[in-house]
Amino acid sequence: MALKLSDYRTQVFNDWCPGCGNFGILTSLQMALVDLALEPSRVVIVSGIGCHGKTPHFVNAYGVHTLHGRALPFAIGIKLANPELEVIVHGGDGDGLGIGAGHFVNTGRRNLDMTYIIHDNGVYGLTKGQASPTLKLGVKTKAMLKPNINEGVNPIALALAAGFTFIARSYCYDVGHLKETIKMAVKHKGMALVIVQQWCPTYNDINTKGWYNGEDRIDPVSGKPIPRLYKLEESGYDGVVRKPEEVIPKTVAALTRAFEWGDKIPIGVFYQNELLSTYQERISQRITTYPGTPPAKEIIADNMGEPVTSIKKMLDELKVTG
Amino acid sequence: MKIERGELLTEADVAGKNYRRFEFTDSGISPRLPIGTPGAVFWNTGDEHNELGHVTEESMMRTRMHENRMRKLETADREIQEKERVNFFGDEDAPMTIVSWGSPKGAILEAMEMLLKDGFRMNFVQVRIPHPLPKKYIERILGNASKKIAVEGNYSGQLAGIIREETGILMDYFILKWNGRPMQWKKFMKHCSISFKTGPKQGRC
Repeated sequence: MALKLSDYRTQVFNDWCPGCGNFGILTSLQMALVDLALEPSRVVIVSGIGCHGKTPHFVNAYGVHTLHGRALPFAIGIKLANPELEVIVHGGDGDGLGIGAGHFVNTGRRNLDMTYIIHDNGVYGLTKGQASPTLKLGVKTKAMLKPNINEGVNPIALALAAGFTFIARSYCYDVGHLKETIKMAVKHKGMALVIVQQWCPTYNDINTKGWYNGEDRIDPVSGKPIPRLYKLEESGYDGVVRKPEEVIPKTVAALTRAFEWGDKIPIGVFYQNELLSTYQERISQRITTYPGTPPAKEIIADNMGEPVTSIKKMLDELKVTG
Repeated sequence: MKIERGELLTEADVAGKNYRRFEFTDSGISPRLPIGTPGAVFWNTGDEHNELGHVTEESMMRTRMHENRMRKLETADREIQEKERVNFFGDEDAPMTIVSWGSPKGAILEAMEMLLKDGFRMNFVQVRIPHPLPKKYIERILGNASKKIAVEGNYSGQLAGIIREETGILMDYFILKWNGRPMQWKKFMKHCSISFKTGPKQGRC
C-alpha cells in the first residue's frame, strides 16, 4: 500500500511559534519521504539541540534527538552500524555551525552516504534570539543590544572546503523546491548538505518573509516586489561534476555563487560530485565483509552466550614471557 | 565469559504491536529494539520523555519515568551478587580492613604483605561497583574490623563518603593521595605505620 503524508506524522503537540520556518521544513521532509516511498522503520531522523531539535518527534520514523552540535557523530554511528538505513540529520545554524562546526567539517571529509539539513535562521531562537554563527557582521536582530560584532560563516563555502559532495540551498516556504532538494540530497551517493534559509518570526526581524520576498524592493514597472531568492538552475548554472577534470572549475563556480547574498541569494544545487568514493566504500576496501553484515546485525554470541569470536590469539601475541 | 544481551527484542516480538521503547516495567528495564528494525519506530531524546520516547514536560509522566529509571538500581542491586561487586583479599577474620577502589590495589597488596611482617594483619575490600553499593557485604566486613582504613587516589575520600552515606559507617583512617600519581607501596606503608601509632587521622602518601 502506498504511503501517505499522514503515515509520517505523529500525534505530538507542536510548540514551535506560529509562522516558524520549521513548519515548512517539516512538511517538505514528510512530502519527500512520501515521494521516496521510504518505510518509516527504514528512516532515522537525527537532530541536535535548538528549535529544530524536535523535528524527529513530529516525524513517524525512528528518531534520535541528540546533543547540541553533536547530531552528526550520532548519525555517523547509526549509518555505519546499519548502512541499510536512510539517515537524515537535522541541525540548526547555531547548533551545527557553532559548537558543531568541527563535526561539520569532519563529516564533509568522510563522505558518508547521508543527508544533513541545516535550519538556518541567523539566530539562536530557543535561547531568546542571540546572534548565531551565520548572522552577518553589522546586522542587529530584535534581541541584540548592538549590531553583530562577528562576521557570519558562509556554510556553503565551508561545505565546499570540507568536502561535502552535494551542497544545496533551499527556502523554508518554497515547499516544492525544498521537497525536491531533499529528495535529491537523499538520493545522492555521498554526504549531502541542504542549507535551508528560514525565518524566525519571533527573533529575526531582519531576514523576514517580507525581506526574502523583496517587499522593500518594488519593481517600478510592474509594481511587484523583486524577490531576493533566485533559482540557480534557472540562471543556467550547473554544479554537477561529471568528469574528474570538472572538480576544480565547478568548485570555483560554486564558491563564487556561495558568496552571493543580500540582493541576490541563490537557491538550488551549488555542487554535486558522485565520483568520489564514499566512506562505506572505503571501509569495504579494508573490511571485505562490510557492509554485507552490518555491525548492528552481527551475531556476537551463540545460544549458550558463548562469544562467536575469540581474541585469544591476539592476546597470546601480546603476551610478555620470561 | 558469557554474553547476555538482556531484554533484546526482534522484529517478530514487535510485529503488529505498538512498541514502546520506554515502557514502564517492574524491573525499570524497558525491552530494547535495535534502531531500524522493520515494523516499528521509536524516539530517543536527552529530555524527559514518555513511553514512546517523545519529549514531555508533563509532571505526572516525569514522576513516573524517573521512578522507572530509579527501579533499575534496585534491579541491579537484586541481580548483581554483592560478592561480584567487590574483590576481597586476605583473611575474613583479620582485625583491620582496608577499603579502596581502582588503581591503589597493587600498592595495597604489596604493603599488606610487608605490614603483616610488622604484625599488622589486615584484609582488603576493593569495591568494583559503588552504585548500587554492596551494602550488606561492606557492613559485615567493616562491622568486624577494629581499624577501618580508606585508601583512595582523591582529596576527599569519595568512596568512604559513599559508604558513610549508605551504611552510616565512618572510616577510622584516611590515606589519600591527590597529586595525580599512582600510590606507592613504600610510602603507603610508612603512612599506615605513622597513622596506627598516632591514632586516627588523615594521611597523605
